[in-house]
Amino acid sequence: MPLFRYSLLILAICTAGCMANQIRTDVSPRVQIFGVALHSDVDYREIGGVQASEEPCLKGYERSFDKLDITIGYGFNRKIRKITTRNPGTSVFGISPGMPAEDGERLARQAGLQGVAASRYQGMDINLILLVDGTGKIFGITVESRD
Amino acid sequence: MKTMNYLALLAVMTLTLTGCASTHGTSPKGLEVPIEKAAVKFSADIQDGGYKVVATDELKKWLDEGKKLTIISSLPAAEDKEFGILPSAVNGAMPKSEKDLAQADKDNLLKVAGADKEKPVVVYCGFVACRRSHIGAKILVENGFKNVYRYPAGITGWSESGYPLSK
Repeated sequence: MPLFRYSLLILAICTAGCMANQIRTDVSPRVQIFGVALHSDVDYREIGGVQASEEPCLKGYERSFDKLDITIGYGFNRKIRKITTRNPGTSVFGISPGMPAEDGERLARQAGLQGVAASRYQGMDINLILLVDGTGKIFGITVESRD
Repeated sequence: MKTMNYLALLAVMTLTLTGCASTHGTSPKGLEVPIEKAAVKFSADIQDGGYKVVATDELKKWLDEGKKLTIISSLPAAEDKEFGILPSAVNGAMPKSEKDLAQADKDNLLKVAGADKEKPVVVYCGFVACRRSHIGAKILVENGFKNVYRYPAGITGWSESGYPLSK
């Protein structure tokens, strides 16, 4: 009988682990910029011939690819925990830099995210921040892991 | 004889390890190149920002004396919750780069800095190489605040000095 209980416990833990991975794989493919995916452990130092400059952070380090207008934040575990894009040729959940803030808000909600503050949304395992200028236009988007 | 040999070996190892543990330079841990990189950027930022600088001990003295000032953390609010804040600090989160500065962040910073533009305001972030505090302090100067200070060591320097952070 104890063996049966232990088996059930182990099964429950394994299933929980699998479900966490399932959430990851559902979200990450939708959050890709230049092929860079959130939660990935790829060590990007160069993208499309553009070299990164690196800065330290409290939670790890960030690599900026200035010519591409993107920044990748790594955690101390060397996984990508944050991506910021200001490149109008990129999009996250259909939201692109250059779009009016209201359109971005609508698309964020359509993607299942909930507004938590002005231009800030949460859902699944991510935060989405729309960088909005004084004219109400989105000039950048940040997606970060909530881990 | 065996004991003597063992003690001699132990003495040599201790001296060797002591030598490895410290080095000459700005920090006993070495790292002169990143320190230089941060110093060069810091110097350029101060000239550009037009604010003053306050060091850890001076800021602690001000707080102990009960000097009236506004302390602003320019770290993201989530990091304030995770790592803690300086005593009585309020959040005015700034981005790491001017390129990512949103109007809402600027508006919030000016709101938390208050209406009294003569009152000293201290802006800090994580550590010397962190530029969030520069961006915040510069905005305050540009908006007419007369006594703006950047506290470069930030929460890292504050906690390294053994001073408390509140959560």
